Amino acid sequence: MERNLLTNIALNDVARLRIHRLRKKMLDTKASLCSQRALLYTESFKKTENEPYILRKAKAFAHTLDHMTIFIEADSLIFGNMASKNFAAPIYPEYSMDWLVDEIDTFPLRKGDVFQVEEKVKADLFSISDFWLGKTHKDEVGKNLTDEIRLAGKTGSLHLGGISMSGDGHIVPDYPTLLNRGFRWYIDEANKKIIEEQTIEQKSFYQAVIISLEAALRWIKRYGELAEKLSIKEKGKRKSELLDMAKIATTLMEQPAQSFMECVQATYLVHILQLIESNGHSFCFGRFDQYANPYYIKDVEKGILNESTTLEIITHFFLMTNSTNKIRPNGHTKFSQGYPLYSNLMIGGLTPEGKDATNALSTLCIEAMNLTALKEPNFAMRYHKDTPDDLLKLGAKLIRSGTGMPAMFNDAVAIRGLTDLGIPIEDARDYCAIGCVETGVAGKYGHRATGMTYCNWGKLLEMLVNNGVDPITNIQQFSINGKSGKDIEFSNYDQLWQGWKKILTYYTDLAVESDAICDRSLIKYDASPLASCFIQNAFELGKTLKEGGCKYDVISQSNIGPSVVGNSLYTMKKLIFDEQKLTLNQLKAALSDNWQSLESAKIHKMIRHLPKYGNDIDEVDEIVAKVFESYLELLPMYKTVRSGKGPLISRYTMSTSNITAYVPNGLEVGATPDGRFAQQPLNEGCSPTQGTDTHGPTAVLKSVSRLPNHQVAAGQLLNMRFTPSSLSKDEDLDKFIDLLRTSIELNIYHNQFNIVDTKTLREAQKNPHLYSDLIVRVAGYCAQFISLMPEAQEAIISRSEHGHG
Amino acid sequence: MDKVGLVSNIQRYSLHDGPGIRTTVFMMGCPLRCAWCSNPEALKKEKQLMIFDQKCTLCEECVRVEPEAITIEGKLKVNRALIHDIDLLAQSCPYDVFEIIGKEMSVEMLIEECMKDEPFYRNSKGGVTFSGGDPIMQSDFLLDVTRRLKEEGIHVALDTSGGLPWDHWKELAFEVDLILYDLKFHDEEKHVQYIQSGNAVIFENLDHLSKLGKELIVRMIIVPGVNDQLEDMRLRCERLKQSGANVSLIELLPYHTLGKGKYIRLGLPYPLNQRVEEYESNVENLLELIKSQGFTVQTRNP
Repeated sequence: MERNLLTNIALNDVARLRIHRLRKKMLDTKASLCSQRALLYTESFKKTENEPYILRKAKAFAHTLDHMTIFIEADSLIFGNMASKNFAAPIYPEYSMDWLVDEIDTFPLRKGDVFQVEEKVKADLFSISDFWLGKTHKDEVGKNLTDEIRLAGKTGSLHLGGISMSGDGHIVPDYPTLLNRGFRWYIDEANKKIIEEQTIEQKSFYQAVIISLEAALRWIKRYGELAEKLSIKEKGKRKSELLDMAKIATTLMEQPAQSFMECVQATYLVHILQLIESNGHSFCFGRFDQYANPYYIKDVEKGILNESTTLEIITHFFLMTNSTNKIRPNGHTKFSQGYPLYSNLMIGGLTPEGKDATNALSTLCIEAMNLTALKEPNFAMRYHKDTPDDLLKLGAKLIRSGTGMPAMFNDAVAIRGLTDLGIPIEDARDYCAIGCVETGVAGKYGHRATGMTYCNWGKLLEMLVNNGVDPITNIQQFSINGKSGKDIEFSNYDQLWQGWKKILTYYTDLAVESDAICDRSLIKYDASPLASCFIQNAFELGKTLKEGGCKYDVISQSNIGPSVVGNSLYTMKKLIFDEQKLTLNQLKAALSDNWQSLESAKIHKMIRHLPKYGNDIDEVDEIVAKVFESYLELLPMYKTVRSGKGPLISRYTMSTSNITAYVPNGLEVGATPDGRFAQQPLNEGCSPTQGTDTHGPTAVLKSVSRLPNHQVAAGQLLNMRFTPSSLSKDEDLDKFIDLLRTSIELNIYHNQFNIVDTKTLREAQKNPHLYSDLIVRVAGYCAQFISLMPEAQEAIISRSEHGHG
Repeated sequence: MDKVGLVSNIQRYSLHDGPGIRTTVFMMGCPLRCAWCSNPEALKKEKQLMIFDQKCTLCEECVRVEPEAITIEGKLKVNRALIHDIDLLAQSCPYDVFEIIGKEMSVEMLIEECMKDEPFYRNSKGGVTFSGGDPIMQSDFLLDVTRRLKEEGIHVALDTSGGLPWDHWKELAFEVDLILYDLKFHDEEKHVQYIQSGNAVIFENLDHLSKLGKELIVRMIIVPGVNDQLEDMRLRCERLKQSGANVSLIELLPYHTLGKGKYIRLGLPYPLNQRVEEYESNVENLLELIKSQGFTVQTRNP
């Protein structure tokens, strides 16, 4: 269906039709695999056996750019492709290869995130798999994992994230600087630096930068030749567009960006280049409306552009971001459903000087997002007390249209979080989303994924009441009372609380160790000269990001289930200790039979009627807040592997961006004392556990306001679902904006909204082919609803639905 | 002793019961018996028992406390007339088949609940709306609550049918900032037929409200084939004008049957027998008519 404009910007029928065609193509293309990158990397790696690894990577990258298939999407104003076909996922054998071979026949049969695999691709991948045996990042991680971490993996307490077998991603290049310099500047500088006295590692780094960027420039010129060739068969407007592309491509990034078109084109190509260079996701665009604005203003002044033509360019750019794809192993894909690449693009907010940063492009980006309404870019908006009502209203209209975007970030809380970490205020004010809800400073943060290691707090809770024994596998890694076996008594609530802190410390220590194992391996395997040279101060230092090149090195883990833990501790405090209506053993018996027997059902009733987090009830919200604090207290003790090696700031913080992990993590956890049934999802981010918030959105916001939100400085995720009817009239929209404005006052970090009713979601489950354009908020990102596995779909449906007359 | 009110429900983030973001407090008890009532649980000023028999697992825990009223032979059967104590019954069921509607709240408790969304009221120019049932059935209690809320600077609206003599609620009407008022029929016979009482008192109260100069939003549920005749609407509008009431807005609310399930759970018959779905909606004509009478008018989805 074609989408209506939110603003009164004129867009002629030809432009609209073309956007519609391109959009339909992105929606309808089936995901597939592409073997080109894998074959070309293998070919190159075979020839570079004894060279420094970073040079091997750079050469393989260059070899790929020189020989990969390139194409220009029909209709598109923007060129650049990461694989041989639209929405095909390339393969990154240097990170991991074994799972691809093992699982390849299952990709077309998956419950969610299905991939088609051609026979030729399969044969290609089989042909190279032996070469990579024992030579990948995953092998290196595997060699170094301790038995303790492996055991924690068996119980499901810890889960090694995708980064144990892929790259890190989660990065925003310094777009303003690189657009202003062009690649040639870096090449020239690197040539000078090589001559100066440098260590062997630094020399290799600059050499790798030169190889990578020279190749990138050649690659861009290939598009020029192609555009020229294609133009021969075309006539009229398309012919001149292709000729323009050809012209741009001959000098693009040989020099600073010359126009808005070049700025957008270069931004998109840097994105694609990063995606080809390294595995991983969340390669983000940062504050696009800020750095693209000078180019826009200049071109408008020159009379080259107007609102309508600019809108068309941005819309094409947004559409093209949906042509990219990556594949994850079956085990990981459960955690991040819906083919996400989390390529965040952010608008609005404050300038580094503290003024409102809204500009004409902020509005145009909202309109472009409205016209595309696809899962990428992952669109977010910053807001603060002086954000103009018009912009908020436009954002709210986009939210109302049901895209789940923009996600709203509250500047006051996010900025305070960063300055508390020691980041100077000007940089903190320049923050942006760097993944789904992870935040950082564009061009100054290294890779900063949340969730190198996932820690399942639901499982920790289950082990807490069983003295450290996992009731499912019977593995006991840790004992709370010093004895082996499940038996444990707590004589008061404080003892129980101390038990929680002990078990949390034990597994967080392990998780940090596990992070470090991944990180150390990535120093070699994720050495990414292209991505590194666009981050301050890596280029000056001659160091990759993983070696410590970035200015700020702030990382976080993914902890899943704080609300389940808080509600459960509250339940035990209340029923076992305060009111003594229940003994721990009675509760444990009810948990182990999943509330099924009559006795268990009676206990379940008592628990159902207790207050739950998310309903604006102090005494339980406070315990959830304490659970957050128990983790925050641990963080100052941890270091990253880059501490002291370059970054000005290097430390851990917290984030609740847990993508869809709350669903599979829940599958591993039996019934919990909060009344949750076995295998049900844990709560998402800092949102209340599904279905337990019964007092509406204001109560949810009040509860969340009691958490130490600004200390969750890498992003606090809150997801809310509203019915379409609660936003249907313009006056309702005003009230929605009032709700957002109140969120500022209440210290809410981040808010994202799904505006879709249960009936529609159920219909989409029944008739997926009719709902290919139904985009939902999953957890910090958006996905096609129908591409999610059934369990994730159910988790979304069971979120409390807000809004009534 | 502190006064006690009986509340059936408190709904925060109410968007359609007056200006801004509001908390709507549904009070129990109503002087009218509208055939299309969607809140039948709040008609009487006493606790009500709702039965969710689809949750029943036939465990028989309830039979132990109410052996005379309840039998379970493959299916839950309840004779409501024989129940001794609905509270004990509700407690007995592990699966919450029995739910009590009606919570006793002190002035203090209700104030605390209402003040929870104060930041939202402040930013949206919203406040608290008393609805029901009909809140004027508990006007003595609400008078205290309202005075306290006014001290806190909260905007208060009263959503009432006006079906009790003025003396019962004039002080409350005086205290609140806004009245949401409902006119169901001009025709008294039809009023008796569908509401089970006359409408004289409702129009008299309209005159009193007019004298107070209170702002009124008149909200009318339009039941097709029942109260959507143009002539009756014209007379209602004229009567409104004649009263001189300060009407800022007329809202037409479409009739809906979303409350039907509640009747089953309360063991009550659904009073509106005729199949209103068969009637063509007359809303467009009504809107035009009301506009031509000089009022601002809008419709609202349920």
